[in-house]
Amino acid sequence: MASVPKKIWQDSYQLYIDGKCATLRTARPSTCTIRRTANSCAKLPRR
Amino acid sequence: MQSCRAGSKQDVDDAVKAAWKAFPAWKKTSITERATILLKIADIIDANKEHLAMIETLDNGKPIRETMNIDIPMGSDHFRYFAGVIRSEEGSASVINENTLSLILNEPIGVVGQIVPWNFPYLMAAWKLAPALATGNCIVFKPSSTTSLSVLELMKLIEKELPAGVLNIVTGSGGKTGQYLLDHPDISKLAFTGSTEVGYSVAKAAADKLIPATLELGGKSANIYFEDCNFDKAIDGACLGILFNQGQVCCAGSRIFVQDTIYDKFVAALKAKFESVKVGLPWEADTQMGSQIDNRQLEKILNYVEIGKAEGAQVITGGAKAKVEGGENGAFMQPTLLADVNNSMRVACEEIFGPVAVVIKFHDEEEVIKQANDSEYGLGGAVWTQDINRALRVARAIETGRMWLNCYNQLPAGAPFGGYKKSGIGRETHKLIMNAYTQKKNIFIDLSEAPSGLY
Repeated sequence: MASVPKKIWQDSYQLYIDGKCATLRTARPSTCTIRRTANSCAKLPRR
Repeated sequence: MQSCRAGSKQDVDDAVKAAWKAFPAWKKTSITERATILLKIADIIDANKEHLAMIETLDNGKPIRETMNIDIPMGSDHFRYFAGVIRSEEGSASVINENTLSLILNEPIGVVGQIVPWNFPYLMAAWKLAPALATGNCIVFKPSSTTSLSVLELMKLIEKELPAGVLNIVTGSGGKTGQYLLDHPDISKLAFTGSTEVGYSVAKAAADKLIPATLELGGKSANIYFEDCNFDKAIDGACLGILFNQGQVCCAGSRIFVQDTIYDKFVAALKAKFESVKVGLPWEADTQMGSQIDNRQLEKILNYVEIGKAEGAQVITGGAKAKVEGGENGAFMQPTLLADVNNSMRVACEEIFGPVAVVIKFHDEEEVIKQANDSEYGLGGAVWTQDINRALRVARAIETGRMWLNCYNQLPAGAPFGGYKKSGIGRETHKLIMNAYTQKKNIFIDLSEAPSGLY
């Protein structure tokens, strides 16, 4: 079973206007594993 | 999970200005170039499928098996579909008479404002973004304030593929940020998916500016079962119709009409099937139903169950919050079946937007057509029978934009989707939507040398 931490992201998401977004830079879920129905595992990147 | 910025009036204005600044160059990009960009976006989505699926599941509460197998891959397919559509689009030319030709060219409409709901945050984004980009428009896009993360994450992944200003994302509430977008004087077209109630506001905002709007709104779709249906497939289809995405689907098969000769058997089988469904933590692979979007929505659904009971409906199964280990504070709802319902009860007329199906008994074809059409909505619906003549007769008679025959909730690119009546205006997921994102330029050519002779 994948576990999900309480704090998923550390940085706030912001708007994306005119190709610029200052703080949308490190958003990644820190949870790790999705178990697919096909019995294979896909790793999500850890922070 | 995370806070998003409440987009201000200034933010919306900046986004619209950025879009207009990008438009002159973007509209001149070749079809080949735009198709290549769309294909690249699709590849990026596929390469990040697990990542996007997990974000969507965490943000929305829908099961990971749905985001992995439906939301995310269908989104990338949408970009590929419209890449193909524009490559084969040729406009038209006609010979009016010996000396006169008429050319019809498709031109982008300008800067479009798009607003999508929380039930399919990423997939609805794909439905809207792909055709608008394909046709050379620039976009100001507002996701639901409840579920803004997947489209922002998508934006981060694809930002290098699009020139600055072509696609702008403004987060915030519908009541404020959304309204700023609706009211902005420099938007050329509005596109909205959401409730019929808000759809009226979008239509009025478009009317005030004399610009077009496409609307994909609510529904109370009829899922009709005749006695000769393939029974096992029929039960499976009833579940898919109302339990997919926790019933938070605009075209959910929420009114189940069952012919009287199989009614008792059908209700018993569906009860057993509903009770076998695993309601669980959305990120677990074997979870079949995840969480409703929030506890407010759960309360709304539970309230409808009480309304149904007060109206005389019988709760066959469900009707309460589901207990999920590790998710005690979540908004989990039991799959719920209400029987002894008639078509005039509130639970049969109003959109519950949860895993609650009402079962209505009917005797013959004429009666069920009349009842199915007795609705202010007309978005989806299905007929289950092995009699092809009856299937087509009923499908044609139902006043709805999409009728499934012996299936439900299939929404691939290439088949137009949209509503009759108060379920909306326009068709998406098909090349027909290109008309909504383009102006038609007619070039009328006189080949004769002589003056008209009128003056």
